[in-house]
Amino acid sequence: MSASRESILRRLRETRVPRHHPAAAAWSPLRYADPLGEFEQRLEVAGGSCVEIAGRDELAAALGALAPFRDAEKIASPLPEILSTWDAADPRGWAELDFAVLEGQLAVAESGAVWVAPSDSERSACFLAEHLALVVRRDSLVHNLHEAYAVLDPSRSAFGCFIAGPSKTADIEQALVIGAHGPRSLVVVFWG
Amino acid sequence: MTHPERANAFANNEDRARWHDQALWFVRDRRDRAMQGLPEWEGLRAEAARIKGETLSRLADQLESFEDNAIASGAKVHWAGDAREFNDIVLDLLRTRRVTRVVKSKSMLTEECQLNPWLEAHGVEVVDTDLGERIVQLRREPPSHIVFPAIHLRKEEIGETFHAHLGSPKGLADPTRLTEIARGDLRSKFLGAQAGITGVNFAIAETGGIVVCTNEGNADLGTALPPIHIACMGIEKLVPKTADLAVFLRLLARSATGQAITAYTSHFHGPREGGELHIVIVDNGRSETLANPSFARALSCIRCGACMNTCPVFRRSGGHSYEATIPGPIGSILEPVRDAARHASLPFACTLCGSCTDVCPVAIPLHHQLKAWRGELTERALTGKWKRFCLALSRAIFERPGLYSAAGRLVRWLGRRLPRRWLYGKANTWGIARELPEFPSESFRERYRRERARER
Ligand code: SF4
Repeated sequence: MSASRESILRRLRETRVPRHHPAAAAWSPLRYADPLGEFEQRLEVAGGSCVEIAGRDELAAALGALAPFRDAEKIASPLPEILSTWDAADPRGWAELDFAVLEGQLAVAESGAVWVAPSDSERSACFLAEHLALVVRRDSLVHNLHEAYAVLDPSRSAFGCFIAGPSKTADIEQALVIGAHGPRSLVVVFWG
Repeated sequence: MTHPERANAFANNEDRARWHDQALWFVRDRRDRAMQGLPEWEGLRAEAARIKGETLSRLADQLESFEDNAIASGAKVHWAGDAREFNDIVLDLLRTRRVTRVVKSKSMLTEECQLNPWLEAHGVEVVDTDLGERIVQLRREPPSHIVFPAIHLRKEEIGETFHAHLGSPKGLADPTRLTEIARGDLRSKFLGAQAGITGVNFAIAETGGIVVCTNEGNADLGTALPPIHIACMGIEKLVPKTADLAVFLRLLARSATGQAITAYTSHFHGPREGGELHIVIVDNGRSETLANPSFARALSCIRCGACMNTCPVFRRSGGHSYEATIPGPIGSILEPVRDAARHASLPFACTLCGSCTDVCPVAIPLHHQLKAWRGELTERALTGKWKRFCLALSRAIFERPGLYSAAGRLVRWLGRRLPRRWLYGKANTWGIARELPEFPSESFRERYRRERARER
C-alpha cells in the first residue's frame, strides 16, 4: 500500500467534520400522468425522436421508414430482427459504421433517457456509428431516475450508460450543434 | 495582479463583455425553467446536501470501501497526495505501457494538477476531446469556465484558431461547420489513441464504480477504443450508494445547462475485457479544506457551474480574471484555502447578493463563506493597505454614534459643494461608470427629529 494512501486516510480520520443537518420537507419524486408523452417530449428537446410499434416483427419496417436507416450501407446490430451488413474485429473498425441498432433495458420519462449496457464491441459501435437506434420494451418505462436505479444494477456490467439524445455540443458561442463526436441522430423504438 | 485589475481588461472590450454576460444569463434562465419543472427541487437539494455532508464526515471509510469494491471489479486503484505525485503516477502508467498518444475528456482535476504540460514535457501527446477544451488547448489558454471552457471566445476567434491549427478555410466562423472540422480531426485522434484519460463526476462507494457525464460522448469514445482507461478523481467525489446517483444526476444537468440529463451518463465498473481501468484518487489539499470548519462544506460541490452563470461579477469579468482552476463563487472559496495570499482578491469579487447560494444544487452557503473569507483575509492582513485603511476608518466611525452623525453632516455638506472633478476623482472607483445619488440636506435622523418635534 502506498504511503500516500495511509497518510490521506489518517488525515481524514483525524478530521472531525461538523455534521450538517439540513431541514428537509418531505418530498416525493415527480410522476407523470402520461410518462410516454413526457419521454417523447424530453427526447425531442434533446434532439432525438421516438417511434412506437406493436411488436418486434415491425421493427425492420419501422426503421426502414427513416431516411438515415434507408441510406445506411453499413448496418450492425445484435438483434435478430435486423440484417447486419457490417462487422468489425477491432473496435476501430466500427468507425465506418452508418447505423447501429441496440437493445435498451429501460427508459426514464423525466430525462428522456434509455439505459444500455452494451458488450465491448457493441459499445464501440454505439459511439462510433453515424446514427443510432435503441429498442426498448414499452413496459420498461419508469417515471424518474429514482425508480430507474431501484430496478437497475449498473455494477453488473463493466459499462452501462444512460443515453438521452444524439451527441451534441454548444461550445462555440453556445450554438447547439448535433453530432459532436458520436451519433448524429438517435431514435428510440418502443415496442409491446 | 488582483481580480479587479484582470477584470478590467475583460470589461474594456464592451461587446465581448456584454455578449458573455447575456450568454451566461441565458443559461441561468434555462436552469430556472428546468428547476421549475421539478416541484420537489428544494427537497432534492436538501437531500443532496445531506448525502454529501454525511459522506464527507466519514470519508475515510467511504474511500476504503470504494477502493475494495473497485479492486474486486478488476480496477487498479492509485493514491496521490499532491499534484506532483498524481502526475508521476499517470506518467508512469503510460510509460511502462509505452503509450505516447492519449485522449482526455474533461477533468478539472487534471487542469488543477497541470497534467497536460507534465505529460507533454515527457513526450506524450495529450489531446483534449471536449470541443471547448480542445479550442482552448489549441490556443494554449486555460479554460475560463468549468462547463463552457471557451465561453470567453467569439466564433470568429475560434475560426482563426482552427484555420491556424486544423486548416479550416480562412474566415470560417459557422459553429456547425467548425464543429464538423473538429469532429473530423478528433476522430483520428480517438482512433489513434493508446489510452484514454477521463475525470469522474461520481464514485460509488458500495460498488466501486465511477460515473462520467458528457454531452458529446467524448469520454465514451475515449474509453471504448483504447484498451487503457485512466480515471482521475478528487477524494470528494464519493457517494455512498448507487441510488444516491438519482438525486445528483437530477440536479446536475438541470443546474449546469438546463437539460434534464446529459446526453451520456456512463457508468464504469471494472475494465473491459482484456483492458485496464486505473482509478487515481487525489487529495492535493482537499483534506486540509475538509479540516477547515468554515469552508469544509465547499467540498460538496458537484461542479455544475450554476454559481458562475448567475454571478453578476463572473458574468461581467470573465473566468480568466480569477486566474484560478475553478473560477467564480466556488473557486473564490476553494482557491484561497490553497494559497490565501495569491488569491486574496477573489472573495471580494462579489456583491454578496446571495444568488449563488440560491442556485447551488447542493446548498453550499456560498456567499456566507465568501463573507467569512473576507473577515479572515482582513484579519491576516492579506488585503491591500488602502482597503484595510478604509475598513479601519469605517469601523472607527461606525463604533461612535456622535462621530457617525458628524461625518454624515460633513459628507452631505461636501457632496453638495465639491466640484464634480473632485467628487469623481481617482479614489471614487464606484463612480467610474455610475452616478452618485444626490446628497440630501439632512439625514433621516435629523428629519425624524424635526417632524416629531412638529407633531408635538
Ligand atoms: S458551488 Fe454549487 S453551484 Fe457552484 S459549481 Fe459547485 S455545485 Fe454548482
